Amino acid sequence: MTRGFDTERWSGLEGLVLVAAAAGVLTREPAPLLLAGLGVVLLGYVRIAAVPEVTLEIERELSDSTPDPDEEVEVTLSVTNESARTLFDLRIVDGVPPALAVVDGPARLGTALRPGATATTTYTVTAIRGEHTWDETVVVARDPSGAVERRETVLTETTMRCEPELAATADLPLRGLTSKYAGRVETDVPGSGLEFASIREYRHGDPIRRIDWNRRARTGELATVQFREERAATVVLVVDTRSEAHVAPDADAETAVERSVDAASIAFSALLDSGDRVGVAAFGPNECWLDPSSGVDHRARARRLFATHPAFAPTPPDEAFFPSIAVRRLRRRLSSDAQVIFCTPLTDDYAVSVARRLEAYGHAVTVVSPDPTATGTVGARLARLERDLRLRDLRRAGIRVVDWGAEPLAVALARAESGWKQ
Amino acid sequence: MTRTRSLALLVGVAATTGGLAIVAGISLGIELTDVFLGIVAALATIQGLRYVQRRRETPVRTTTTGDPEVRVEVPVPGADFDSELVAATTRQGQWGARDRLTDRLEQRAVRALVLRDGRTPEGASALVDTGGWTDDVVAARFLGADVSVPLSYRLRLFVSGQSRLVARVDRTIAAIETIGRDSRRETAGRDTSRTADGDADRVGAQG
Repeated sequence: MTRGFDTERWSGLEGLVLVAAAAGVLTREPAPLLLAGLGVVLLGYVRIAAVPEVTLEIERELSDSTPDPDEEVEVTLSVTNESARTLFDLRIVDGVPPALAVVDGPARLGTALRPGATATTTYTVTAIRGEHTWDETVVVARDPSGAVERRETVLTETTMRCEPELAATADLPLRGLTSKYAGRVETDVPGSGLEFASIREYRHGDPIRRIDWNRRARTGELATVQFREERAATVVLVVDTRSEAHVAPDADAETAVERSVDAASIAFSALLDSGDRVGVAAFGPNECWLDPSSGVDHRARARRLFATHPAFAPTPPDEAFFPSIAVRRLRRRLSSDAQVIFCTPLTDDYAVSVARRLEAYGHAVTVVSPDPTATGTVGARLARLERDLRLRDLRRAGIRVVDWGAEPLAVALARAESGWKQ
Repeated sequence: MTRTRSLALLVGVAATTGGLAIVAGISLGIELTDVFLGIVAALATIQGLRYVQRRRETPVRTTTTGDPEVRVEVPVPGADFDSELVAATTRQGQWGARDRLTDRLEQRAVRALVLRDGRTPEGASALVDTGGWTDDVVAARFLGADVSVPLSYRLRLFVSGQSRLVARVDRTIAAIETIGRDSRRETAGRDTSRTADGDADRVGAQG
């Protein structure tokens, strides 16, 4: 038995006892004196009240520990009193992972538990991408009068992993910077390909199917048709995961980092499908780097990375971040032929400077920017205006920008692409 | 335990023992007269009320558990500006916050003129200084131009009860939003010593 801490709930009872006793003495009536006597008994109880040692066995069960995104998962919490004493007033609040929202039933339980008895509560959470670990369960125990209270925490390890499939729901057009490997990005280099580039004089050894026979018929000269050579690109998807990027237009909406990771995972799949070599990096306090590569194993690695790496967690980071060091590190890792797709909500000017610096170092940069702004307040309107100016700034610097609003990414890409062609 | 408390405890124990002795029929030379009982009741009442008063000043202590059912909240872009605006309308830190608001809006106006209207940074700054960047005299004056705000606008604002600062910031943001979109854009050389008459507090609405 330990005392816990006083809740001060019965503080002031002494005063009422004295007033009742005074009334009894003054009126010489036994009733107020009897009331004062009862008060003294209660005061005595409050003085010696204590909460027994809380020894609980807590079990947590998930209906599905590897759900798909947006799937509802039922969580069953069972609490057993393992001590030899009855817990008269027990309040249990489960440590739901901060990124998950409870959609049905409170994640808490209020009960009294006899020794060996078990109480159960059930609540439902909606799964979102990521690896979610339950925090400590908070247990608050009080004595029956509520005069003393104690707080304990019990850790029951439970993890839910939600790994969305990488689906190429949008095709991302790349810029001209390519590697030496064959691929789908049209270059200005004449050679074999699909799109006509030029006609040059026939040289010994040119393939016979590339001879311009019409010209031969007209002029009698041999000429060779050249196409724009198609090569593969090396692309690094950089996701802005700084605390500045953890913003959302309202409490229920996806955060900009979640949408940026969605965009990166869509782009990853699309680029891998078209034969490009793709890498992943996080621009934030939690370091994350996946070397550009291709193949089935690489896809599986990236899927796991997007879902479980702490850098891509939907909750804002607590660690300190030194952006200029991060930019230098990123630059060192980028090969000279690497393009960059920078997924950022552009909520501050630093994101613009990162894109501009990478472009200046020769990495063709495309910015995919999920729009997290709202219009509800004066500040929100200003933030929208500022973001619009940053988009213009980037476009002016020759950087391709995809401004992604509430529509599907494919629609935003199609709109942006038509703008690039003009 | 302090000396006063020890003394009070001693007196209390002695009084209780005396009381019990009287109840048991031992005469201590004290008569339970009305006056004596009145004094005892008054002392008990005063002490009781002191305890009650102390209770009123003591908050109940309990464990707070937060809301684990709710997702972690992230800010809405622009929330920092809204907080600054609130700070600027309260007495504490009013002037510093106000200066920061004006500086930020001025920078955005210049940047909008450069990026949306194709002006040079110097030209844009000069335009903001003279107020020629907007038709809205309230916005122009808020960013430092020497133009007079129409009386009708001031009266309307007074009647509406809205904060002057919030209304001016709102107008200024609206004016910056229209940069590059407004076909009735003022030119750099425009005379800025403008006044409005009647209800028109937008200079462009006068024509």
